[in-house]
Amino acid sequence: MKLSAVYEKGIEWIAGACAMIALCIVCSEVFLRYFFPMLLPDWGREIVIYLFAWAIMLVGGLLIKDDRHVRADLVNELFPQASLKYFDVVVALIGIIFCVALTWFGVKTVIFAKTFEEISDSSIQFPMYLFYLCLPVGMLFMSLHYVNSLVKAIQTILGGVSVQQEADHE
Amino acid sequence: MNSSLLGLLFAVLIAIRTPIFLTLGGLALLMFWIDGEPLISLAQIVVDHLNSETLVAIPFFVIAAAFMTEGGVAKALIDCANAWVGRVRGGLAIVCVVATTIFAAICGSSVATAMAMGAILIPAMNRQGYDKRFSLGIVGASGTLGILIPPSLAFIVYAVIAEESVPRLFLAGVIPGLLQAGMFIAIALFYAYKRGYPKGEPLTRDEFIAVNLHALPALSVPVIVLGGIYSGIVTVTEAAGLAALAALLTSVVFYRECTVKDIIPVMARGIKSTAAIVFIILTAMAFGHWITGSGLPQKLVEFAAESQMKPWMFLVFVNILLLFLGMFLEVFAIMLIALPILLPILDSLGINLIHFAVVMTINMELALLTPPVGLNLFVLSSVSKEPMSEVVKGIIPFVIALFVLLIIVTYIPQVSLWLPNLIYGS
Repeated sequence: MKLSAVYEKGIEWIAGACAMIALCIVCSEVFLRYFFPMLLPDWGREIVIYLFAWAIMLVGGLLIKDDRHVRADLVNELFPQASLKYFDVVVALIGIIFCVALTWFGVKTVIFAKTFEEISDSSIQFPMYLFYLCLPVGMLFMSLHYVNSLVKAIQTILGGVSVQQEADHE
Repeated sequence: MNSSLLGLLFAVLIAIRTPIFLTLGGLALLMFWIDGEPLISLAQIVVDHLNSETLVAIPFFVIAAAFMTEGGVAKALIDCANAWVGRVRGGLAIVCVVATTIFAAICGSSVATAMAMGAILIPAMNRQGYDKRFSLGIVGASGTLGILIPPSLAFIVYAVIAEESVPRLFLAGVIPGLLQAGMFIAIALFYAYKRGYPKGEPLTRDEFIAVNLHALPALSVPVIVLGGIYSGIVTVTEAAGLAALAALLTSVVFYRECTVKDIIPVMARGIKSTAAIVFIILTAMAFGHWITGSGLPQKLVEFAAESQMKPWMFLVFVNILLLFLGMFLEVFAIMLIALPILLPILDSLGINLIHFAVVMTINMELALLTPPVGLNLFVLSSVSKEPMSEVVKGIIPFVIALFVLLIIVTYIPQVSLWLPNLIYGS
């Protein structure tokens, strides 16, 4: 199996597993609250939030790869097909700038939380830097996917292959 | 940077197919930088809003919708609706509206509703000699009920931005949703008698009981979700979790269209669909933060006050704006771009935010059906393998009905507010 396929399957499996654990926590909380209220932990909800935050941030890169981030496709009707590949270069560059910036400032947020030993209010006193870490990690993956998109878009321009032809080929 | 230049940059980024989250996030980054605000605050806004309990309801409802779509629930509901209303003329069209209304009360997503229903009902209607355009139109239009009938993803996203009560919003969608279903049934009956569409075969008593028993697990899901919320037993997030669990069990244990092996992949697909929405929410929050700080909403409020704009005039203007945006943008993108700017004005004009949520959601239903970018149109075209033009032609009578509903809901606030006020007080 190719490395990219392993990465993709791995991310999907982690995201699915996070969702499954979150589902188990929420349902068991409802059960415990009505039948064994003394056993109900005070940290369930925050763990669910952290699990979903990690899962969502991790799949952000896959959405770039699959072209599933929502956008207006009006341009397909307005502009000639040949112009789309140049737009793809611009979009990938904006994506790289934004994701790298959020990776950088996300790391700073993590360092800040670690330095000041920021913890959650619940009894487990969860170290918040582990939650904040999902932002730079997710944005790093997204940056790499945008670099990949940029390389592909440039290759398309240099190779003279139109986006439509490429799509047809795929 | 002045607001008109920002607006132009925004339009250019949208036009060159920049993803909405990147447009909003990129502009927020640029504006923070120009204004000299520390850029680390952008990262902090993102993680702060990610740490939200209401947001957690979205992935659970999306996962529930994913299991419902892939797990054989649609067929059970269609068979059940057919047993009850299939015997009248044009029965299958009425079955479509009724089954879609029930499915909408389970899943909360219009696209998932149209996809699940379309895959079964369009071939069935074609087999019974229904006009192809009509069957495409009724499935596509009924599918939009997914975001109006509770539980609704659109209402949850609205609640996050406007800081409104989710249970109140859910209740506000009930009467307009039923009104919409009633209008669509009336259209279906009109065409059924005009074109002589067939009646369904009557079922024997044993068949009737068997079909209803088979649908019972699927029908139990909305009872668990809505019953749980309104009886006060569970919170919205817990209800969403229970909906996901019930949908999982229904698909894997009762209808067996999904296997245990499918559970993690279906959940991963749910997370991916959620992420597409959440990334827009997070960057819209950051953009909204800058917009609030820039004083733009305040200027708009002052403009509205100086021009002595009446609430009804403003609602006409907003409806036109949302319909226009709906032609080009996706539902959640429109909500997240427009709401941070509109909310302060709504407040200053004394327009009830629960009422406005329903007005906005009906606009979003229209957005799903208006070309060139209407997600339900794409879904139906792909499910039925028919060209978009056929779907658009079929949808026209239903879009007209939705316009009528929009006017009713906009100018008679009690249609949306009566039920939540009755349950929770005004």
